[in-house]
Amino acid sequence: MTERRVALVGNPNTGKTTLFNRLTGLRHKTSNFPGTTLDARVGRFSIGQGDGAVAIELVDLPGVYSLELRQLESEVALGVIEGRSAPVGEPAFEPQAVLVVVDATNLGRNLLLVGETLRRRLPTVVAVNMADLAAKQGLHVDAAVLRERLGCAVVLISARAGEGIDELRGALREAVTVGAVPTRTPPGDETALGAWAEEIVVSATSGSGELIGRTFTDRADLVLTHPVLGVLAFAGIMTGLFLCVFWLAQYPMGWIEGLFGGLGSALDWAWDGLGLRVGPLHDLLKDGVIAGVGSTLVFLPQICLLFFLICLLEDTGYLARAAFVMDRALRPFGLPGHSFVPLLSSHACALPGIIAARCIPDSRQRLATILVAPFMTCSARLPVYVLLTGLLFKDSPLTAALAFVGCYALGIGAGILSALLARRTILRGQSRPMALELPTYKRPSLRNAVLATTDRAMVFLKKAGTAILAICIVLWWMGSYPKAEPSAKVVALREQAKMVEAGTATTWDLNDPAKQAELAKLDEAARKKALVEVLTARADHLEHREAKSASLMGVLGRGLEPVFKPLGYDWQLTVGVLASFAAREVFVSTMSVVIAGQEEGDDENANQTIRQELASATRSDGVTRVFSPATCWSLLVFYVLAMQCLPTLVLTSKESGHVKWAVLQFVWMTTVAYGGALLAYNLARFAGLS
Amino acid sequence: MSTTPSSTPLPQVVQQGCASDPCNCASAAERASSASVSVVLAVHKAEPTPAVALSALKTGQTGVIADSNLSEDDGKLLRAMGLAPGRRVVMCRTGEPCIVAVVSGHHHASNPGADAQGCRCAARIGLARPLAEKIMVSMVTVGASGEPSRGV
Repeated sequence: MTERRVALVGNPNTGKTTLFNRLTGLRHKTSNFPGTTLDARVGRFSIGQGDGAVAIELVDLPGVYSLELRQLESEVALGVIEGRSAPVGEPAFEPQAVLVVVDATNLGRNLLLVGETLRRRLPTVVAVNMADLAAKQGLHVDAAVLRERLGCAVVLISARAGEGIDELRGALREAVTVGAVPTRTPPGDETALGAWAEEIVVSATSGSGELIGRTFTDRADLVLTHPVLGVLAFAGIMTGLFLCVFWLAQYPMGWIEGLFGGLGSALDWAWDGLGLRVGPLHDLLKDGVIAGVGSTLVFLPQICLLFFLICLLEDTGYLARAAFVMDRALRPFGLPGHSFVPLLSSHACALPGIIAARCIPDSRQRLATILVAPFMTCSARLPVYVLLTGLLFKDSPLTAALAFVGCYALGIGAGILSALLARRTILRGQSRPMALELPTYKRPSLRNAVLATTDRAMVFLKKAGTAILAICIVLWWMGSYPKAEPSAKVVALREQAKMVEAGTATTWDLNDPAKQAELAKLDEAARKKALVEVLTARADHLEHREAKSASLMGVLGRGLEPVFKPLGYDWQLTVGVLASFAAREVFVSTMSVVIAGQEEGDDENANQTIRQELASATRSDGVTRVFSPATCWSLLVFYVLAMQCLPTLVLTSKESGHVKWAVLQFVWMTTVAYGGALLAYNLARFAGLS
Repeated sequence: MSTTPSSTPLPQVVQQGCASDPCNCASAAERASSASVSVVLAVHKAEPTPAVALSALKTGQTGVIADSNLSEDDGKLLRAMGLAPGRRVVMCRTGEPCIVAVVSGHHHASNPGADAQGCRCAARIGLARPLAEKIMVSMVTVGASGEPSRGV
């Protein structure tokens, strides 16, 4: 069965995506158009059955107002229609037919695109979508007149309700098999084309439709696009959206963490069952692969939920209003109103934020948004802020909270000023001034939202998953190898534990009067058991610390200490900073291991002890505190501004279309962070906080 | 139907909000329900009005796109979006950016029976001021017959 290519064309907001989903369902794949970040969806379906069945490959082109604009979307659409271009992975050839979707409630404008398409002399089918909505508004479209005036097949449909789809399939089948070209050729001159379209509208439609100012859309827009009320409504809607994302995502995120924790335990159990010795392969599978995959997948619920809700909002027509009301605030910084949602999303995680930047039509503005999105305080920074503000303002929660807010403000400020700088230098050029269609409000389609979310999730997993996993494994290896032999102190502690367990000794001086007193209260058997646990835990903690210090990461930390010394960091903090280039939150656990010899866990008392140890830990000179106030300020500024998230860099590279943008993002953010931290450290020292 | 002329000069341009038929092209029955306004306007025959920037329209005012001095790319885009010469537009929200409603094909300036069809919105477009300032419109005023006429 030979496959026939059909190009799907239409103005934005005509229901093109709904029709694509209606015709192809889940039988599609998403890629890009070559050299662009524009989504290219290719769906496959067959019309008819048996020997007479016709296989259709439907290529969903970007929504365009005209094929002849000097815009990426128009150039891509024209390239596919003329057979010069095709989605990545598909051969380029002229499609056998073009399916043009038009909005029945706005036929005049939509016919301009139909006219441009008809001039290409390809078999054409015009699907007049939302015919039901137009009829409800009192506007009737006469398909027969339209067919006669356009000289091609015309079908009235409602993609949302599924009406007219069978007839449309029949028309498509005829178009690709018979291959009849349009019998009429619209004028080529722009003015004449406009008059041609108007004349057809007058002859092919009857009724008045809804009057301006009397529709639900007009009434809703009085509030939602109001300079003040619109911003308040936007703030309310976005707050609700993110509360939903955070609240709902915590459950699947917990399940994913539990699942991967369980997988780790299952691996241990299988290893024991097979009688294998725990070694490098076990560690690679457990700490590299399982932990690496888990750390990537844990973001998936947030990404899916965010996109699901954004798709619903987009489908209602509200997202265009959101871009409209935020345009005024962001325009002075070279960003459009569309950037607000990606930047806001980045406060949860930069990954969905960067993917959300696809909604920005201007490529320079989209790139600027992607580059600065990681400046926004993501949830991975929060554990670091908690640790550092806790150390700085131990007895003043209010000041700590203010410092927290300051961190958010610093991130936003650095982000928008960086965007301004980028737009005035490397991304210089006139932005598209806002010319944004505000579609009529509609009830959103759950089916569309689910399909779009599935698409995004697959793109995220495919694009980021493999590279992130590889990076996680490399970082795990750097933090774990080369393995160091246990020191004499560790060996002695383990020996002591064995002696207590064997009964050759029942008491031990723990150099910890409180613990000693606690043990003294227990009966002999319980004391013995507790003592073994304490000694073994001490040996484990010490061994972890020594292993981290001897690992490649530890060696790098010592080697790079001079680079970070001007910021107030010793080798231990340098190890923490280096380790958190994989993911920021790793800083807290790394510092817990390097300084306290154990990771934070669920036991709040133990965590309190670790934090006390961190607060009082000293550097190699035995006097200077590792976390002095000046160092804490320096670290806080560094973590607000630094690019320490490899998954984000991978995604930036993919979404921007070139690795150079990820390199620039890393270099710029790290430079700003270094400069900011240096300034903060010296200001703090000048203020006597060292 | 009253034909009492008003002694107070009335604005030539209908300056009502969108919600009250701003392009002055409601059906005959609807016009009859607001007869006093229509008739008062009818006796003040409109003088031709000079073309003004689209950004100068007030909320509810209607204009017919006359010309533009946009860049080639912007001009093409806006024409493709429906803001083409001869199109009637209604200012729905002023400011930066503003919102204009493009009136449907039935109310295209070239359509003589426009006012009897009702005034339907074809598209709402959010427009940055730099663009709105470069689009020149002739304000739609009301002639002696009560039908909309265009300024020069």
